[in-house]
Amino acid sequence: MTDAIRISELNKSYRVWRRSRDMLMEALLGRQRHHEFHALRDVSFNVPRGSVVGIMGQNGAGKSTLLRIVAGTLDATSGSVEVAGRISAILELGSGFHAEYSGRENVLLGGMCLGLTRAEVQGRYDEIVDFAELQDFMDQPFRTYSSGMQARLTFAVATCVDPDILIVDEALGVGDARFQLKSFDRIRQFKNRGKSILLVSHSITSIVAICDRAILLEKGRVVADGDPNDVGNLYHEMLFAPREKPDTAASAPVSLLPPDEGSSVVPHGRLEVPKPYAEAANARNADGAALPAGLDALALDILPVTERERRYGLRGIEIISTRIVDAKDRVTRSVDSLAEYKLVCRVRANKPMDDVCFGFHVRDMRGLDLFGWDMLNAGLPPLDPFVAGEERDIAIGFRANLAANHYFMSVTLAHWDGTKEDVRFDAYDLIVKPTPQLFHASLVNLDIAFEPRYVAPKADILTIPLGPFDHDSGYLWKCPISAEGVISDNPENNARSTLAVFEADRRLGPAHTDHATIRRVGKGGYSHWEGWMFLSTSDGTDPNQNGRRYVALLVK
Amino acid sequence: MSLLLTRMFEPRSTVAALQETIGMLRRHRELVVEMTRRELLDRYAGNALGGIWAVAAPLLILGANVFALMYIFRIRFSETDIGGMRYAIFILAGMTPWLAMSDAIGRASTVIVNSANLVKQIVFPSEILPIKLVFATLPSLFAGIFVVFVLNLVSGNGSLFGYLVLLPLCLVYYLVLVTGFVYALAALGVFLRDIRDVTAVILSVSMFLHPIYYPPGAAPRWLGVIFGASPFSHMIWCFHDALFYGQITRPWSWVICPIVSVFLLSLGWRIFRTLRPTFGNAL
Repeated sequence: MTDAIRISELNKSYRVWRRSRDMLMEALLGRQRHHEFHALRDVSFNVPRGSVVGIMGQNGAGKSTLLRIVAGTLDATSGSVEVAGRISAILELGSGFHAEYSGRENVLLGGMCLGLTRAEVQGRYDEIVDFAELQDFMDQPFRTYSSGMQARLTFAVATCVDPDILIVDEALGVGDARFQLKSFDRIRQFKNRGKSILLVSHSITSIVAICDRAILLEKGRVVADGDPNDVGNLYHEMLFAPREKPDTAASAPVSLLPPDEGSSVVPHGRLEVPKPYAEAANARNADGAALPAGLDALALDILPVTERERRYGLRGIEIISTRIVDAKDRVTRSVDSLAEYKLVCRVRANKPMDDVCFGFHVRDMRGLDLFGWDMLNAGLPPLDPFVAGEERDIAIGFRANLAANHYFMSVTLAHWDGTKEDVRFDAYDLIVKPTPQLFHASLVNLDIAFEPRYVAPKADILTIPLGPFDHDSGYLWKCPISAEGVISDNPENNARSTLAVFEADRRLGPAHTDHATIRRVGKGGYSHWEGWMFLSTSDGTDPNQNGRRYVALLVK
Repeated sequence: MSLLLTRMFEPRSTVAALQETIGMLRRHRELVVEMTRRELLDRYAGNALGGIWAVAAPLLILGANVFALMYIFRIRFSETDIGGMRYAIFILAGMTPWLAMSDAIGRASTVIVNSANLVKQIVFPSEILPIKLVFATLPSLFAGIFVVFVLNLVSGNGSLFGYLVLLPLCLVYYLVLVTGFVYALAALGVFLRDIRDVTAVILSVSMFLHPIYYPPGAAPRWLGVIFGASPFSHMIWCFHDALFYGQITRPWSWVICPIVSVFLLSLGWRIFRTLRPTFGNAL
């Protein structure tokens, strides 16, 4: 496989002049009057043909600069970018489109700007309009379009030129969900035809959903390059891991420190690194991805305090730390969807305390309450009385039935009557690792067990023709049964009692059919029934005589 | 510096630059046509008369100038010039290319900046933008030439040799010369926005420093030196020969004009080509 894009040692620095006069003076006098801003530093990676590479990073990380250099609208300061094939880029909403022109004119001009001839654009016009679903709007000025419509038309035009390399900068986020799916489909088609796509998105879920590989930029450097899931995790941590808070002595207890043995309150920031974190950090370094100093600190930062925490209550008893531990009792910061964890809160009573209940609840980023639980509603007795100064861990097992995202957990200590002792609202940032198997907008994980059921053509009766019967022994006659059909709600291996045998209109009693065995064979869209039907005649006469025909009804 | 100069005058790179320009024009000819059409329509978008203004506006300016010179200042071409018709033709022959040229040059320094969304956001051949400005001046140029042609018919002036041989050559000189200037200004204007205002001032002043208003021999001697220093003067003299005299009266201009035009085009193109990759930084 050859590479569609090959980037090596790419650097980009912008010269920034404070005033444009300085630029003129520098050009004329040659004395340096600018300072340099490094947007990209030693960026190297390849994009193989037929792959989708996602680029993530915070605002100002250099994503757009990178895309613009690859697209050729910006020059690099040093390093090289080799591009094989025709590029089409969507770098901004409505890029290359004129606000006053109608949609129709914009499609024509936009397509021509992207290198098509007039005839080619006209040939693809219907396809473009179909894809953008803007049939009724093509004669209106582009400025009257909603941003979603603009994105749709931009995307449709940019992809219609059939580029070898498609560069998309954050343009997919604007359309509605249906259009996003459509765009994703088109990107997949591109990929399947061996085209390459370079995609910038802030949405980790969409990167995970469509990219083969992800690259994380931080301050112009490639911080991670690899599996979208892993890189997405790292990015997620980078985004939501708390920055170092200004430490004021008074607010020290607010830090949610995973308590170590002995002293549980550490007055200033992070002094102790619990083992799992240190291990995780080391492991990540061992992966070979060179982590900048800042990120190292992030990985080691053990204070999952959210910036948004609000805290109130009497504080006669308080929650001094909150942590999540996995099945092996290791503290963890990000959890796997559907795995079992424990929420462990260390509680300290500042005075003798009785009649205390614990509760917690989970909200999503938009503040939507997802789940709440407390001892009162659960019908549990209050916690055993505390003596002054006593510390105790409250552990609550739960299963992370959540989809990839991050959620805020609030923990509360309160009395039966509702008096709040300590409410720590949005105190814990619960990170659920990407769940690529779920639809990207999922909040919860319903733990799907996929088992399609097939509905019988006739819901509750299957007619099986029988006979002719062969003589078995004594009064018994037998015939093989072989039939196709599905019976709804029929207990799979227990069909015997529901087989009714008819001769003409006459139902034969159980005495005659007591040896019927039948079972369902085969899986999938049909059921194949096989077995034997034994018929006993009271006088040993041949049941086939006089041309009698029998039929078995398999009844629900 | 001397290295720069030798590179500027090196014939091989000049030829290469010309080839590139022509190749670019052929490659993007449909887009050039479309962009030129848009450029003209956009200027008068929303006007009741629409694109007619592209022709009407320069004609009105020409008419007003001619009227002022003939009836207010009462300048006559010579004693035999009854009613000033010959003088009118003389002015129009020189002023038509001048106005067209100054239109393109006046817009040149902002053409890239105004299309920043194209240059910055998509993979777009930005070398088309200056070209479209030059082509967009053709309607007014042709309108002026047509007026001169009609006036010549009425007054029995001009010659077939002028129309069929000299005029096409003039048009080629015009396109080549103006394109060169426009390329250079467009590229520099991205970085130095002041150029727009500087060109506006220079254009309006230098209208008087070019052989447009002055009948032959009427200009002071020192002005003649300035005339000769400007490539546009030679272009205007060529237009005079083609449209007014109908014969070559200034052979030196016919030699200087093509040489200087080609040189300026290749220089302008090379400036543009050199600066083009860095446009993204300044937009």
